[in-house]
Amino acid sequence: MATAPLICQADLANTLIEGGHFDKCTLLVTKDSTIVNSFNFCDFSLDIDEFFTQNLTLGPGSAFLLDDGGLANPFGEVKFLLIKVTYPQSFTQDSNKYINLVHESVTYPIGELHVWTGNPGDSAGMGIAVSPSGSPQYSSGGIVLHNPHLNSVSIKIILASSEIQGIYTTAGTSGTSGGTSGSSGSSGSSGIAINADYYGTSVNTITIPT
Amino acid sequence: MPNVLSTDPRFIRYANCDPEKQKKIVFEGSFLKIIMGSQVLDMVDLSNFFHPASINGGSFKKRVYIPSGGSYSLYGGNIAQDQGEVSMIAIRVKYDPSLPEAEKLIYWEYEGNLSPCKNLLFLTGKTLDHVKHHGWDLEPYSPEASTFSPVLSPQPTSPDLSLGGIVLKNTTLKEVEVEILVMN
Repeated sequence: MATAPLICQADLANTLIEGGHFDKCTLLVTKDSTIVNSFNFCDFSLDIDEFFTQNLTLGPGSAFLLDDGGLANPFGEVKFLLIKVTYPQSFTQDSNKYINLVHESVTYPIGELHVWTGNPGDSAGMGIAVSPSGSPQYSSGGIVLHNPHLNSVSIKIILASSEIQGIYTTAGTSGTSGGTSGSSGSSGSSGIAINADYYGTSVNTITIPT
Repeated sequence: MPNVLSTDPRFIRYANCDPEKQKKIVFEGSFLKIIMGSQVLDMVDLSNFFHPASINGGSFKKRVYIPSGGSYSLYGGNIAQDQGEVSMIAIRVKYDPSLPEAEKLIYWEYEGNLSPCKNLLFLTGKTLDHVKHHGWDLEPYSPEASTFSPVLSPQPTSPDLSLGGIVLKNTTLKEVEVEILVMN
């Protein structure tokens, strides 16, 4: 069973020992040693096709345009997005352990973990829009991660596409054509690319004007 | 010869349904894993995940059933901080098995943005007790209107977009079961 980590003195002003942590596949909310709530993920399952993982260090004040890894469907959408943020020990205040996610002109917070799921289909809006559509403000899609702090943070990203992508093939052959799934920084799909509005570049760090 | 329409084979899409080739995202132990058959392709270690509660906060869990075409408004209740923010929201959705896979999707609306949710949504942030910080605004009558994308499709139907809270919308043809954990 995972145990709650020690919380440094500076955090005690705002927190008690109550908190959520994973015990195997169950999220337990405990107060001291009493389980207050539990949330079971054990039967969670999501079929995917290809995926793309990426680890990056986001420097102080930096922003990062998320790359769809070539996985987005013709609407620029994917099925699964996970962002896990790890903060170094220099983050002494728990309340500072957040970064920003900018999506469709709205800024969302991310503390430690962020998971979105969708179901990309025949129309736009069913999946998670990750491909910028050309707007400099990313108002129609695209995800920017922004670290507003003076210290770097480590981020792990997983993107996954739907089990049936818009990959067109002739009868009698598989709809997917392999690829090097899961290797950091490379596309998980090498099928016919039909996502024409793919602009992301996983190696570029951009800066959000303030 | 009769004029018979048929599907152009070039536009038929095939999925590889071999269980050994099907990739899945699952929770195993304290890991979120991407598996293909018995092979683990990647994993995220969640054993070091710890989300502390605020001193005046807490948590609540609820299971709601949203009818077809219905919606559910999620608010922070008395665990939210003064301006209605909470620091963690976990949502799982379960569907009627008779629904086709492609139709298993609901939507969540937050600050004027409408986003899809297949079967899991996990949101975290950070709150402070007395001032708005970087949490998720679940206050139903927040006086602080937030900006939102001017082009929305489909258009959100909240009566007032300046309100906080998350609205879950069931657009399927069947009732859905939604399990929610909110923490602050």
